[in-house]
Amino acid sequence: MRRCKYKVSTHYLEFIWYRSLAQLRSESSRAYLGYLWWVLEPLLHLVVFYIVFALVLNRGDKDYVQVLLTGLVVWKWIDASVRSSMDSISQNAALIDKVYLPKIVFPSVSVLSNGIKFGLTMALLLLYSYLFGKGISLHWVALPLLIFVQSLLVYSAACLVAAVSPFLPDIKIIFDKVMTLAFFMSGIFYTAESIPESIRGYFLLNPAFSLIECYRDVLINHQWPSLMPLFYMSVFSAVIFVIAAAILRRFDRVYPRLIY
Amino acid sequence: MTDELIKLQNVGVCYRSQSFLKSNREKWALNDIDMTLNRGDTLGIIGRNGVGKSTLLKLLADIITPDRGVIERKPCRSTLLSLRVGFLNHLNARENAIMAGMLLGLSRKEIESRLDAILEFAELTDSANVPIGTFSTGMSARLGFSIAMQIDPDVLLLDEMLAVGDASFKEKSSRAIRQRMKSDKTVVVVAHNELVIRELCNKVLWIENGRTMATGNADEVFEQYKSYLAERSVNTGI
Repeated sequence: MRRCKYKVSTHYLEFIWYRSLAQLRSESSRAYLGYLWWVLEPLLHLVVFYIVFALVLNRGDKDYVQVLLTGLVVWKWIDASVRSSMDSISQNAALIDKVYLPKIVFPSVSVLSNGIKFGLTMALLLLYSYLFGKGISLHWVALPLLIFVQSLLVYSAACLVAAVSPFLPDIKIIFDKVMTLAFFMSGIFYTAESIPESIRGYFLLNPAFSLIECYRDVLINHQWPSLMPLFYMSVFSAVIFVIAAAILRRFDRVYPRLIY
Repeated sequence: MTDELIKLQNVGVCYRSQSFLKSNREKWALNDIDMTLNRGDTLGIIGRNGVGKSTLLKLLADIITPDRGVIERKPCRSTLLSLRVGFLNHLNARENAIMAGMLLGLSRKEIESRLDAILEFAELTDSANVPIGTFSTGMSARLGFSIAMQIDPDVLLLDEMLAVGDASFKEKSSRAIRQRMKSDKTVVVVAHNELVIRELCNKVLWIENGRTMATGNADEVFEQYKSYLAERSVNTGI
C-alpha cells in the first residue's frame, strides 16, 4: 500500500517535470526569437529602468546596472510564477474535467517552468557580475541558501493564489494590484540605503524586498546576507504552504465542479 | 462470484453558480442514483440529453465527489477515456502523446516504448514531428484515440462510443473499442444506440432527471424506457 502511494506521487513528479519543459518549449516556439526572449525580456526591462532612473532621474551610481539586474532577475521568478498560478487551475478546466490530477500539480508547473528560466538568467547574472560587476567572492557560497528560501517563498505564494482564485475569480484583480504594489516596494530600482531609516521597517515586511537585499549583499556588497529575515521568510512560507496545500487537498475534487 | 467494484447509494451532485448580485442558483445534476458495478460488467447508461449521464461518469472516474449519498469503491483505477487531454498546439505529435499518456496514467517509459505503435495506429508516422496545431480535427482525434487505447485501467469509462476520423478509421476505431468491451474488462459506456448496447452490454442503467429509473438486462430496461418516452411525448404533445 505504501509503495503504491509512493509510485503514484513519483508519477505526478514526472508529469510536472515533463509538462514544465513542454510548456517552455511550446511558449518559445510561439515567438520568432524563441528561447532568446528569456534573456532579451529582462534585458529590455533593464533598459527601461535604466532610462527612467539613471538617465532621466539621474539617480544611479556606477553599480546601478548590477543593482537593477539583480532586482529584476530575482523579482521575475516571483512575479511570473504567482501571476501564472492565479489562472493555472481555471485554464486547465477542460483537463481536470476529464482526468483526475492533484490540483497542486498546476502551480507546481508554473513555479518550475519559471524556475528554469530563473536558473538561466541567474547564471547570466553571475557571469555579468564576474566579468563587469564586482567580481566573484567567497560570499557566493550563500547563493544556494538564498535560492532555496526564494523557492519556498515562490512556491507557497503560487499555491495559495492557485488554491483561492477559482473560488473567487474577482480576487485575481486584487492579487494583481498586490503584486504591482509588491513590485514598487521591493527595491528593484532602489536600495535599502536610499530609504529613510524611519520607514525602512515597513519595507522589510515585503519578503521580496528582504530577499533582493540579501542577493545584493552577496553579489554587490560582498558580505554575508542577514540570516534573520531569511529565517522569518522560511517560516512564513512554510505556514502559507501548509494552508495552501490544505485548501488544495480539501477541494481537490471540487475544483472541477466550479463553473468557470 | 460477484465482486462489487463501485457501489453508489442515493448519490446526488449539485452545481452552484455564485454571484454577489444575483441569488445563488443551484442545479442538481444528479439527484438520487443507486447503482452497482461488478468486476467484469459491461454497463450501458441510457437516458435523454442532460439527465446527468456525464456527471455520473465523472463520479465513477473519481474526478468529483458527490454532495450527498455514499460511494463505496474497492481500490481500483477507473479512467474516463478522453481524447486530446492536455494537448498543446505548438508541440508535435510525439510530445503530446507522451503528455496525454502520462495524464491517462501511464508512466513516461511505458508511453515512450509504445510511441511507434501509437503513431502507426493513428496513421501519423509521417507527421510525428509536426506541431499538432497544424493537424486537422480528424488527425488529432486519431492521435487522441490511439493514445487512449493504450491505457488499461480496472474500469474503463466511455462517454459515447467515440468512433473517430474518416470512414476507414471510424471502422478501425470502433472495432478496437468493441474488442475492449467484449473482453472480460469492466466497462461503463454512455450510449444512445440501442443495437450497440444490446450487443455489448450485459447490464443497462436508465437515468432520468438525475435519478435511477431502472437497472437490469437490456430487454427489461429498454421496454420501460421506450414506454416512458412514448408517454412523455403524448403528454408534451411532441
